[in-house]
Amino acid sequence: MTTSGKQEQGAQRLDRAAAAVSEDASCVGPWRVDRLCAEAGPGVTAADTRRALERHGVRVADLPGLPARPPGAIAAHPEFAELLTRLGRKLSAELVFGSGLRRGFRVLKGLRLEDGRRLDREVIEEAREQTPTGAWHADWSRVLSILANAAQERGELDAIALWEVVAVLRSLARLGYSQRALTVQAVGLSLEHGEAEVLAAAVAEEREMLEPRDVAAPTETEAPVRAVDRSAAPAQGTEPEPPADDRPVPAEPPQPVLDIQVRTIRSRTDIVQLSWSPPAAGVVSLRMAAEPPTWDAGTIIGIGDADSYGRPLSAAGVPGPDRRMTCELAMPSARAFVTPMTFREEEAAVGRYVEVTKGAPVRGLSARRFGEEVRLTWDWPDEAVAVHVAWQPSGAPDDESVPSAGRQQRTCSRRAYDANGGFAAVMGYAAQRVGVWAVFPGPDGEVVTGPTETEVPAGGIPVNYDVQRVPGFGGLLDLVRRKRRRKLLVHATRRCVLPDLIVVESRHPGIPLGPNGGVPVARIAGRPMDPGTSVEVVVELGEKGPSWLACFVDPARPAAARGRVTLNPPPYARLQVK
Amino acid sequence: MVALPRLPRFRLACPYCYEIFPEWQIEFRCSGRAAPDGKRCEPTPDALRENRFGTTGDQLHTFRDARHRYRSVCPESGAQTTTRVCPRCHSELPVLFGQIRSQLIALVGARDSGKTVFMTVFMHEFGHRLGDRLDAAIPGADDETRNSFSRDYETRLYEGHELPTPTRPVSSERQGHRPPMVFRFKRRNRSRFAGRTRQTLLSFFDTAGEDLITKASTELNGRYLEAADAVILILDPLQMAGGRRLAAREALQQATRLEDDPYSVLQRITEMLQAGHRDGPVRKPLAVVFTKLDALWHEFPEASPLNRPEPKSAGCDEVDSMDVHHHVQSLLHDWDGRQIDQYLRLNYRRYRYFGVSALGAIPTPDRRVSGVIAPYRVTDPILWLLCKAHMVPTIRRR
Repeated sequence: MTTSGKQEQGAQRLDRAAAAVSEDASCVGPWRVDRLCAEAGPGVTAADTRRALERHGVRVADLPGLPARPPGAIAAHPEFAELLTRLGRKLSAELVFGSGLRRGFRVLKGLRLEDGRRLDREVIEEAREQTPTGAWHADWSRVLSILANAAQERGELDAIALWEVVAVLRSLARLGYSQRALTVQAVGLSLEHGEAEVLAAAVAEEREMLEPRDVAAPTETEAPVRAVDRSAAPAQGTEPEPPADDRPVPAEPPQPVLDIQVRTIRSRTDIVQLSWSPPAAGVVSLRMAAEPPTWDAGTIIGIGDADSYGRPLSAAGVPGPDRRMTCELAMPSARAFVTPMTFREEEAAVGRYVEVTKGAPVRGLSARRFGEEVRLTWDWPDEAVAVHVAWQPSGAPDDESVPSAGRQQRTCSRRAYDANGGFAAVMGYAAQRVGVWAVFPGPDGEVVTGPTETEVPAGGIPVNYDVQRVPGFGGLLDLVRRKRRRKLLVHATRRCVLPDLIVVESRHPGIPLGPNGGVPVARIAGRPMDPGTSVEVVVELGEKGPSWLACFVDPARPAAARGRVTLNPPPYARLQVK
Repeated sequence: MVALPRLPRFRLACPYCYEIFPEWQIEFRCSGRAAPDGKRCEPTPDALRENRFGTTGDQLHTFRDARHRYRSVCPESGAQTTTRVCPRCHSELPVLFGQIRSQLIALVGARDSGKTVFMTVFMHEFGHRLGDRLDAAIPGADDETRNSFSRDYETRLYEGHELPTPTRPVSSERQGHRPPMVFRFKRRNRSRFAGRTRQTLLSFFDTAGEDLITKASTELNGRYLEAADAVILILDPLQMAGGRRLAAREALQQATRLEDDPYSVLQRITEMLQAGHRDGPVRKPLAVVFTKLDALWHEFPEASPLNRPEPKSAGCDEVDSMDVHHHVQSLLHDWDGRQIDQYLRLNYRRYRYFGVSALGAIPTPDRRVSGVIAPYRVTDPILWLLCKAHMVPTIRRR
């Protein structure tokens, strides 16, 4: 290869690397510039690198030195951080300025609020006078007292403020937060945006320096796969760099994204958060359309076909702490579907689509049976005004328009749902198919979403048993002969096949919970039973009491022969025989 | 008919410091209002409160007036006052204190056993479901309870879906003033004297798990336990070897700690209750509550009382309660807790087992609750204690 060819290749490599950096960072320092420069190869200067980065919207700035250890004033009080945590604060200045801090502040040249106020002894004393009474009074006072002491030393308060911001960002960086995510978090603390970018870059670089890696060209497995809008950043920009010896690498087909998830953000009804695992090969682009794609998830299609489906989303994903890519998306007003497409060369893999409209179906539906009662819980959609719940025995026609004898429907309001800890209804012992529909206010009245369904398994047919004294003359004789006998009655509430039963006696303090919890004293042969009929057996117990008597389905019988009944005992006190 | 004056009571217990004193020792706090001649008192530091609770800010002065019970006149300013305070801790006593009964309930248990969650969910359930069932109300009896319950507990759990931070030990609370939560339970009488109401003050003192380990806080806890009318002992079956074996894997997020073993906790509590008394079983009713049932639900047979719908009767369903008691007693053997049952039988006159799930689901590893709080049987223990105090009826069905 000629020198000019090598230079051109280096420039391309630099451009790709700068594009990759821009996905993760909006600001870098000289150390990162030098590293990119070295990675791009000979012939690429630091000035070229700066220009390439700026072309991709990345600011190059002189990053501040970060404090390595806490300032002396708080280092002397190891409980300081814990006090703040207990008070639910990240920055001690919040106790001094309260909501004033939320309007924005800077820390790099000393703590300064947007309104010009600074952290000094005077404002701390003012805050101390207004310390709220209540459960956290002591912690609050203690923090302010430490700050007041620190104020005696010049610059110490500013050092504390910087240390606290850096400590928050360092802890997030350790969790794997990307630089952009760190910036967002710093802005969330109300730090001025420019300083947030610079501090996030400094923390990210520090983290990178602590974890040195080989500066050689990345291998295929290290290929940085970013979720980007292809219109904003070309797919080849994130392609893995070819090996230095120019040997052709076998092209791997694009991998579809099959685990995309959508969730609403509490207190934000205007946006939703999408998250997915980055695929092993290819660049992910999210496409939104009014209809779901006609291709099945996992299908490989041509780029032209992929581009013809819906429109690309401009939201770029950022890696989160769980290594999944996340991005936020404005809630569309109409029903919409988002499909992740993984592009690689001339092909695209269709991922699993998700619905992101306000009218998305209820999620997280689960059911728990308590006898005849079934309790349902689900994630209540933020803007839903009600949820319709319908249930019918499994196997009944599922067409709502077809009348079904067993079909029942109720409407659950948000208030009732929260107050009652879910939705509960008596649905009987049969298996039920339950569907829930969220109801949203719409421009033309209510909008009902599609159903979310779950199956509630059948409970066993209830068969009750009871223990009674042996009546009549026989019972009197028992008293005289000091015999311990009891009559066991088993009766069915519905037609069923009674399985073989075993009656056990236990002298432990607790009632036997299973057939192995005592000594078998009788067996009852299985038989068909009609409602209202009963089986009676007189059981002779051991000589001495007190003891517990309990009845179970015989475990010695094969599972198929045990039937599907639930043996309901009487009040436990009746099972205790003196 | 002329109402006869009520005789003063010899033994009252402050719902905040749990100290015992006779009614005539109750003090008044100056209202701070201007007297007819324009004189008024100014707040000053209250040494008694500061000594007991740490810094609490300036307060108006207190004074004793043996001749008046419910209202008095400040001897310094001449202003009228109806604010009565405890002579031992100078906490403002709830309205009607001394005129209606008080039930001091100590809530004890090991670390992370779920005491605070249990109390928060119980109060929420009372406000939303149990109150209707019993035809009763249970508002906070003071501003601190009203505000802190809503702010620090209910909102955080029900809206923020966050579990409360671990409760701080009493010894550290001396400087932080964490008073017991005091509620006024008021219920319409449905039986003989229809139309009349029954009232009692309910004071819940939520101990920190560490309180039962460190020597420093044992003395303070001993006082609370001694004055308490009833004790709720919260035990975590996941701290028992057998319970851990059977629990859902996602529930086993924390390792067991030797000092939090339920049997050890029970022994320490019993020793505190028996200290300074003659040998013999403890007479105070003890509700032994096993929490976190949601982690063990899959183990219970279908006919188990812990798989039944919660009772919906307007009182304590005795049959259901006894079924749960016997069932939990048997479960204890599966959970390797046989010695707990033996110990209770030998040391307590009135105790009952309960099984509850305050959240209805296993929380996430970052101490959050996903979805709605769906409690199960969380009101049973306090209903039983209220029943023992004759505040709610016993329902005997079947």
